[in-house]
Amino acid sequence: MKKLLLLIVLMFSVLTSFGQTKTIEGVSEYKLIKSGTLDDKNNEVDGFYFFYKVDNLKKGKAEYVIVLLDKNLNEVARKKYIDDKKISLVDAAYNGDQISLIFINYKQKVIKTVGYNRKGELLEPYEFEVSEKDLKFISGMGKRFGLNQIIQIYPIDNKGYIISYMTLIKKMKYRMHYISTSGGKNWMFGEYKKDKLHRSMQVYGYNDKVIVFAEINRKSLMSKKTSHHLKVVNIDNGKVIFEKEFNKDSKNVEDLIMMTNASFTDEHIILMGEYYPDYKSTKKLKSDGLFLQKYTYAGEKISDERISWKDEIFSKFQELNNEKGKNFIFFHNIIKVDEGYIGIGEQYRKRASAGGIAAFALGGGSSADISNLVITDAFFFKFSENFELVDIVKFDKGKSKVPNIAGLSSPQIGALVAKARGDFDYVNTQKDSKNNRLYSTFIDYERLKGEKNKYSYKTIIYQDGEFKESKFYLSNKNKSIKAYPAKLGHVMIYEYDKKTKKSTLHLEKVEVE
Amino acid sequence: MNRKNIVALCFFMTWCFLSYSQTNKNEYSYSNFGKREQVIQQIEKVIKQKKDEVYSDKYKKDKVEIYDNMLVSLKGNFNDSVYVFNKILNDKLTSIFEKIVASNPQIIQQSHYTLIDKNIIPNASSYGNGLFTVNLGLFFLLESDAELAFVLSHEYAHQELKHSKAKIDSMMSAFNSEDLKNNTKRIKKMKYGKGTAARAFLKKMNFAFKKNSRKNELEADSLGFQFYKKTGFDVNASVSALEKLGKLEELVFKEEVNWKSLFNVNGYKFDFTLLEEEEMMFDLDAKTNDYEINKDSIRSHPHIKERVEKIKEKEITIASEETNNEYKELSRIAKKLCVKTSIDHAKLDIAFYLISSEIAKGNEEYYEDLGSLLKKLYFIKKNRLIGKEIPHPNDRWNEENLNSIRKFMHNISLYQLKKLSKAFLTYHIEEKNRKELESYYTFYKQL
Repeated sequence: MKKLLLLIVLMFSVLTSFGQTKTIEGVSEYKLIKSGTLDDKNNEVDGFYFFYKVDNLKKGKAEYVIVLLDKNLNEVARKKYIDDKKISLVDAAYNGDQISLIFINYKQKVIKTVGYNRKGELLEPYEFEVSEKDLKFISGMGKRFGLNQIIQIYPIDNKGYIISYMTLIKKMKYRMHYISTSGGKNWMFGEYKKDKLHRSMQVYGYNDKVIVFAEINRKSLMSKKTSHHLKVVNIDNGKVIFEKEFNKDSKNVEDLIMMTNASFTDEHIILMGEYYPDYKSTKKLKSDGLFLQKYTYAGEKISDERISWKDEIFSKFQELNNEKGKNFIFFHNIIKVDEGYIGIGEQYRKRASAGGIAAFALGGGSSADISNLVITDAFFFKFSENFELVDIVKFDKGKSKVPNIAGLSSPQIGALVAKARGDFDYVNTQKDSKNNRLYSTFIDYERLKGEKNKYSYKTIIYQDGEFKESKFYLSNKNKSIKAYPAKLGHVMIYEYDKKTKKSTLHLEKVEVE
Repeated sequence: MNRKNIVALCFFMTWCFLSYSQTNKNEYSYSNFGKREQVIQQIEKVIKQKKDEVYSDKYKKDKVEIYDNMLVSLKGNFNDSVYVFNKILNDKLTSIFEKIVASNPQIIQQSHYTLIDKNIIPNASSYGNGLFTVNLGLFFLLESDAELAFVLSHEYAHQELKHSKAKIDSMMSAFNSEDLKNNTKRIKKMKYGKGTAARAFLKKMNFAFKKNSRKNELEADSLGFQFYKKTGFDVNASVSALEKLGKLEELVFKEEVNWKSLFNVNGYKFDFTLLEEEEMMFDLDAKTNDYEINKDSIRSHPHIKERVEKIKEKEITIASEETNNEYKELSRIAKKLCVKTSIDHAKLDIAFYLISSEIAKGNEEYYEDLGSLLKKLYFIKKNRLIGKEIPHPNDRWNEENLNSIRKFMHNISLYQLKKLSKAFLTYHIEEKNRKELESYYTFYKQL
């Protein structure tokens, strides 16, 4: 999705007068180097940025221009920025206090943030050193996956930013830097200099008090033996409030959990995901059900609610399930609402591929060819405040067949890989806390009777305790249409008129009558 | 709902959509009066004359290309219904132009044709060779034949002084000048700071063009005043016309919408959260721009104060206070036309502003337009076109009242719109007996 967003914001350059316009005789060019969105943890787009190089200056310096558009696509700032020629803009974010852009400066060997306050004034930059080896690693990985996948920025509301990146200290390790924008203390997390483990991280949620993430450790990159540590770190000082570990020696079955996401209230940290009966099941991701654990911010466990597939969810799911075979639900998110919790999932099943099996048997194919994942309907699970299942609501979607890259592994592992590849139809969910609403978006491929199949942009809106669907098609006879995330409760629509060859970009409210 | 009702509803919706798209479509278009082809021919004739005039000029090819593009743009404006035809307004313009020409036999270009642009901003322009455009907004502002005659005399002076051609000539000369070539060569050779040098040079050129444009305006004021004086109109009106144009920023979009008085009817309470400010990245009233250039240096027109002083040098001291009823009627026609074209072309923010300010003044005839606007707003929102048709609020234009209308239109949900419209229409049909709103009432009732 991020890549798609980059594509769309590139198109903005057409709209801005500062686009890649050539001046007389090509004497001077405004070269667009990077553009992107300023989005927050709720998948809301707060604005858009464009980074241009406009001039080469003496002593290895260059003049750049940073153009910022607000969430309504109005240009609000055009700032001059002088720095070394050898820099890359990684990404930018807005935390309610300031707009920060992260740069890598290859000459000075630093990662640095350049910030503007809400008056548009340039603030003192913050930078930290990076070794030559790490720079090469970041640059190489960045070329392959995108720099903003290797260095990530998490805006902490009105407080600061966390920047995470990978470093090569003996082995591959993650590191986090917290930069306060409100006069607080800066800290660094991940000082694992001596150990010989590869350590990676996955963030499940954060607010202005804590960041919740999993640290995944393994001895070698190809090793299947991993240990998972769930860590909850205090934003103000970078100290671990509590952590949980599970590995093959784990004795405490209660801790055999796999997070989907973390959510927060003023008093509690809420961890949500799937639980497992034993360590072996975790390897195949064969969970027993869903869990919801509540902790205080001091790390005291308040509750641990569990709901099993077998006893509680399965029968209700089967009532709605029209598909044959063994079907599963992949949970994309579990979100706190005023009435309790809403689980958002998609139905899938593993299906053998006849052609793939034949090719595999003859030695001509890979294990990935022998099966597909069939992704079907969207399911919304309504849970009470005590995490009891209240209702399941299904929304029909067309069948999507995607290759099961995990091949001979369990369907659950196949689904996890499909999720990482972006193969599911689910796009994201925005939460409107003020009005207790959710907007969950899917891109669906619909097979229509008597007309050409079409992609549709489907948003399931949770409003006044009910789920309703809002939908529009992403093509018609004369236009090709693309839809992208935008500010809360909106969609950004790009239309290309095939006849006039004109394109337009506009924001529209997502709603049902 | 049974099948019969669904079919009936579908039929109703289709009928509403068709009737909505066809309503009064041609009421003000040139085609409706059988004049479209004739006017396009007239424009083609003017552009041909312009092309012929540059036949032996330097840079002929470039100039011809500019005129060809001008023709495409003018013709395109007809397709986009930019120009509107209204017999009363067009006749008024023709009669004033005729008076100017008749009073000034020395004028070389005696023939003239005026197109009325639906734009709300008071303005007029001269394309040369007898072709003029006048914005509808000009009729909102001017209050007498004398004031209109001064504005049109000014445009006639531009034509007589061949400013339109002179502008193109000076641009072509500048773009092909030795100065530009030498500077381009110099900047190209620079190892560092090319961009800064190129921008500085372009800025200098731009300032020179705009300086020349301001000089032309003063010349047009001066010659225009000579033309105007001979018409016999009150010379003081020249100052009052200019002063009104000078107060433009204060006059345009100055009136607040009274949401309560418009919509708090039949127990409905207007939801003021629809007008709440969004939290934006920057807490600024205007765009922050490190590359901003002096606005005065890029003005195409001199300050009105300077223009008024120059006119006053011609022994005029008192601004005319003349207001006549004919111009009240012309202003009414122009406003109605502006509302109609704005609704038809989905410029609902402008239309709403005009409607609400007229209703606030007690003009009952605008209730029907509000009904029509509410229906159109429903279709635009239903078809996810509001972001395409109505700009988002933008503080930098300092259009507070227009911005609040835009917030209302963007933020209101279809559900809320139906509720608001039903309450509004029910009240005006049942309590105020406004029969002209019945079709809109039926439309919303059936939804």
